[in-house]
Amino acid sequence: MSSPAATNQETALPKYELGRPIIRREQRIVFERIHHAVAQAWSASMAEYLPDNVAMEFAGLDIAPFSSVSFDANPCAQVTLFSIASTPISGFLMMSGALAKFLVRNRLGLKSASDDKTAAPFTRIETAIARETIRAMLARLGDAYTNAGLGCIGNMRDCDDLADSFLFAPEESLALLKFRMSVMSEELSLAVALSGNVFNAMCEHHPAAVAESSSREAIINVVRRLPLDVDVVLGRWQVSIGELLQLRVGEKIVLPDGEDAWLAARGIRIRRASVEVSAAGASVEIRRSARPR
Amino acid sequence: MTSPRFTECTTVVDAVLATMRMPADSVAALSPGDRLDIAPPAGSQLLVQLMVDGRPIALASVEVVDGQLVATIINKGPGLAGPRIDQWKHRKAKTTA
Repeated sequence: MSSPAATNQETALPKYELGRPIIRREQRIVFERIHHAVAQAWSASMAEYLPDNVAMEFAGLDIAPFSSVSFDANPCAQVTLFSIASTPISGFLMMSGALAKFLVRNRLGLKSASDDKTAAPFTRIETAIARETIRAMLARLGDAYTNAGLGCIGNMRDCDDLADSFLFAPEESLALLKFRMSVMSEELSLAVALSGNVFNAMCEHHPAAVAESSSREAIINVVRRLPLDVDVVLGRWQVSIGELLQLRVGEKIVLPDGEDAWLAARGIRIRRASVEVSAAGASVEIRRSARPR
Repeated sequence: MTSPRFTECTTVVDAVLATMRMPADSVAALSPGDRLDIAPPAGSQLLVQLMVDGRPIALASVEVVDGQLVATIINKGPGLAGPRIDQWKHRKAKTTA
């Protein structure tokens, strides 16, 4: 039996960061289901050239900052950037060099596909095959995202060095979806990374839940999850059009102090609040409502 | 030519410090004393949008100067910032037994 101290060490939780995306249990389950299905679709699409007992598996979802993502230094490793159309979500698919080499050599029908451990870079033809394989995988991932209501994958581009992609700030939290392929007791890895705000986007789309059930309970559950854009309004004041026209960049305005702020959704006041602003962000305290008589 | 009378018309400006995307049940669960900690998107600073009729007319950075909240206009014009959703964390009010 391990000592309490040892247990504490084993289960040390990462420090909570405010910027870290919040993911609900249901969202995590939906997200994992989508990617289990994607792994199956990938395996099915590669079945004709992969050995019988080899398949892609979904290995889990993790949330980590961009700076912690390690890029495989193998010259055959592949990265393709993409975005999800009409959303602020960006992402990339990162295939380890070993997996890229295994897939390419299998597609070429080379018998030693699983034995090739050399670090030689791809030829131009092999690179083209690797990239075409990734495009096909992204097409299936895109189909899954479209069906889930997340949007279509677009704007795909290959990337030589992820650090120079300028896609994410180092501290930006990403949803990391890990996949693996077990070949001859070796695990070949692939990861899909998405902006942390993908969970917010998921919150917007629940068409499947509506389609599956017509009961009142199901409708209520969907309505409860409907996303509302809630504004924190510090205050309001009257101003002439002339004064607005004279606003210039660099001009300073003293704002209401935040004591009589409110939360508003689509222009409707929903809660009174007081706001404190600090360098890191803002803290909003909900106040008792003053009901009009 | 702009009529001088037109510029005398007044309108109402809202100072919107943050926008959070919250599920409806989270909004409904907000009670007096609860706190929402808000952080701007990673790599970004806290900004205030000056809005007229729900449309942004100017974007300003915010700082506390001598206890006052001071906004400095950094950009002007509609559609200037695009959609901006801030991160939020709900802390329920502490209740005493």
